[in-house]
Amino acid sequence: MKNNIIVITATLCVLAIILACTDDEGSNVGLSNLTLVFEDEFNGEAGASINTDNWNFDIGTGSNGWGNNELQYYTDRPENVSLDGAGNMIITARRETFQGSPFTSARINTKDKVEQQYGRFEARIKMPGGRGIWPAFWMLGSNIETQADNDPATVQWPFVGEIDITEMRGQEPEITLGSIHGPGYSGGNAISGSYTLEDDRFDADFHEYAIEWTPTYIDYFIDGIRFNRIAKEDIPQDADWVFDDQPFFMLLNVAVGGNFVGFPVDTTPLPQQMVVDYVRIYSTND
Amino acid sequence: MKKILTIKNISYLLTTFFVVLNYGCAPDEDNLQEATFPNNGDVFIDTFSTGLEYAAFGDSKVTAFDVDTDVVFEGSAAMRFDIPNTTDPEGGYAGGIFTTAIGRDLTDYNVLSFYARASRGEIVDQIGFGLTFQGEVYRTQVNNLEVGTGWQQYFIPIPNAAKLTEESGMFWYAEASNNGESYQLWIDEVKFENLNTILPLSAAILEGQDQVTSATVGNQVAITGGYSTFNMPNGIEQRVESASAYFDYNSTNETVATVNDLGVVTVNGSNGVATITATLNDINAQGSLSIGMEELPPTPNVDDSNAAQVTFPVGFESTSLVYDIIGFEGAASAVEGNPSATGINPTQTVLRTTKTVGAQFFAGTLLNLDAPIDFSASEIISIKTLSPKADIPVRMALENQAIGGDSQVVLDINTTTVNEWEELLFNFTGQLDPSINYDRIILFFEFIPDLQGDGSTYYYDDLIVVGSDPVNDGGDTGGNTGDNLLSNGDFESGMVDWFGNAFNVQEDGGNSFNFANVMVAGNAFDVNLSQGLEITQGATYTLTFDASSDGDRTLIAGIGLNEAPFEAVIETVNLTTTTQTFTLTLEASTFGSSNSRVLFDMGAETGVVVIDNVSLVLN
Repeated sequence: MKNNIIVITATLCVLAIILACTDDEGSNVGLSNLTLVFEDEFNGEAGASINTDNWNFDIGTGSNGWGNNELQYYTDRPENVSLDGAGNMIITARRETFQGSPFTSARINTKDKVEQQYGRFEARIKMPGGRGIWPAFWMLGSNIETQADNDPATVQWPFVGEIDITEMRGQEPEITLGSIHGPGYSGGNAISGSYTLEDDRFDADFHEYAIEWTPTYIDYFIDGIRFNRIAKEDIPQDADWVFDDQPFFMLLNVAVGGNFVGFPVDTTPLPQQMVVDYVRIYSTND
Repeated sequence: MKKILTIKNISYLLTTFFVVLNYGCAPDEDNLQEATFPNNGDVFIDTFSTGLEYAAFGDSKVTAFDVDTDVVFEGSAAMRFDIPNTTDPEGGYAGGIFTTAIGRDLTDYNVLSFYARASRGEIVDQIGFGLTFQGEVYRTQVNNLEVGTGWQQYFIPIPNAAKLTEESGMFWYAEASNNGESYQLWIDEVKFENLNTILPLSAAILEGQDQVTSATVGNQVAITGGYSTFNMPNGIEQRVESASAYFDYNSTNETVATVNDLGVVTVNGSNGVATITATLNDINAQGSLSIGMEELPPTPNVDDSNAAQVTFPVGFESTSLVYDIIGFEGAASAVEGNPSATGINPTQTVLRTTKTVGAQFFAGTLLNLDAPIDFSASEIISIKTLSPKADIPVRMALENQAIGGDSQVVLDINTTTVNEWEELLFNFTGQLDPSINYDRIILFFEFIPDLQGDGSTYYYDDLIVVGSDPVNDGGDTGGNTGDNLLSNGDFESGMVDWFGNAFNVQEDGGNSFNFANVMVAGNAFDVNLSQGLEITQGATYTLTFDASSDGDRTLIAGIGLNEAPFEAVIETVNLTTTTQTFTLTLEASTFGSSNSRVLFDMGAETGVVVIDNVSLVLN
């Protein structure tokens, strides 16, 4: 679901003129006073594991294909997730039967290890491509309920909130989507914006994907250029803005198949790799 | 593809003009500049682009092509192909080429794009570019293109555009109706473009296979089976049949074989291996061709003086055996004393064959063996020869005595020395039929067609199979089974070789593994998987295996006696839901027996134990 960027832009421009035009869409203007508080440059030997001080592995097929009818089995094997020795982390989706699943891949997260509320979250990624391939760099609220419990401290999705910094359908390799999910605006009704490359595709080279998250809006950047803003007033009337309550953790994954992307076909080129140069978090000093 | 007989829209004017121009201006070689050619990428937009001609294949329905102004994707006209009934007496398919008299420079493009639709859903057999009257050096095509009833854009990537500095083949197609009935195919907006939305994925020669051949010196072998794959704008992998000339080739040993720009390999020598590989742009192509054989140490003298029967190796040294020798077509042959017991062959007796004056060029000497040649280690035969002439071909032929000539395989190797013993190697790798017993060996000296015998006398000796034939197995035997002391370590052979109450082979997706689910915990050895073998006391072994579970649990693995007192050296490993490869170093310091075993004890805890790819290697 694309939100109405034009309306927002118009609104912003009015604001911008008043505020000396500091946040035009399409410009590289973002938050100032940023301080780097976390980075993983993924340096290490080829084939080495990622730093588990920062990252957890999600293993298996989740419930109902991680809630999306995804087809892959996530593992922590180096065949699916490891460093490449050249300063990158690689998640590889493969066509192989594993524990009853027709594909393998990896999904890693920073839950309980690296979490933050507000600031800038960015990663430089060369995306995978191919019909039915679904890569994502995204975030979830830290108090997410992972198993049904009666603990009031944990909250179910989508009430916990989800910020998708980028996700992509492998059959549309020129389009990146940035979305937020919350109660009343989740799944197919998420608030989204997209950016489309002209005569290029996101699996051809590295791009830097980033958001800047403030108490009032979330800005989306590609290669330093802001292409969308999702603000509090963009969610449905009476819906809750669930992004002011808690820190979020980050996730990186490559799904194969699923409701969002559709199924891969025999001619989907596999294996496919998500190559991540770095992940960084900045806090705002304000 | 059949001959091109029918030509339509030939540009006579252009041809005439070109000839006149050639006569009028002889090139000055000193100032000759490299010719440049038009880089027009348009093929058919609304009409034939400049210089474009169409010619139908001679045995196709030559009237199939027309320009259509009613059904178009864009603009005023499209190409229409009336694909005939497959039983049409005028031709059961449609096909032809669109070429330009003057080649075009397509190096700035990376794809041919066009729109197509059909009067019904159809799979178009072949469509591409790079096919001309003059040849198909850069023939490129996509096979079995799916075309529906709505206009859709199609792309045929150029495998390596840097090569297309002067290409005349702009477009071609060949299509027979799938169900036999005629239909119409429209194609519009055909043009070469440069798009960043098509990503190269892979390349291959020889259909991606690593092939081995034992070609004779002077032979030429054409590399074929080239293709490349691309990740298309819609995330689909597209295979493009790619002519050999698109690739850049390399030979690892040019004294054995060289390869030219067209992928034609010439065999220059026989001692050593040349592996031909290729790249396409910067992608290493899958597939290779290995020619020749590894360099071998000099073969020792064959002493068969105590042999029980005449079979390989043969040294002609026995005084009790009868060597069944037949000289034919004028080759007088006999076992005789070595006329030059020097150099590499000081042994006493050798075989003489004299190609008498006027003998047939195919006069030779055959030797019938009492038992067939054992080629299990290698398919290379070494012989020693003594010739009065260098650089004459020696032909070796192998046959089965009962079958005769129909079973014959031959190789020619040239002599290099004059009146000096030398070793010649005949590499039959890839030529032998494993179902045939080769029990006859025939030698022809100076095997040059129609050259009669001149009375020269030749000698040969020491016939032996040499080498471990590393080329023959392609360099990859598919695993280290030779070192693994266990049988069926990967469980692919099913319920054999292992024992124990946990022995339960299951298969999933083509992979077999051992699966046990412990329901009640007890003694670790209550649930066991074992395989018997001999363990040598004092030796150290490496046990490697893959294992996983449905949760976190332990597994005991090791080696031990399969008899009282069941002494063992074991380790406990921690299993998770993820398959892990465990490598244990185990020293049998206190026990050893022929009745020993590899063991897995898993009864101490409940839960699944999956075990696969077990190997035990003596360190």
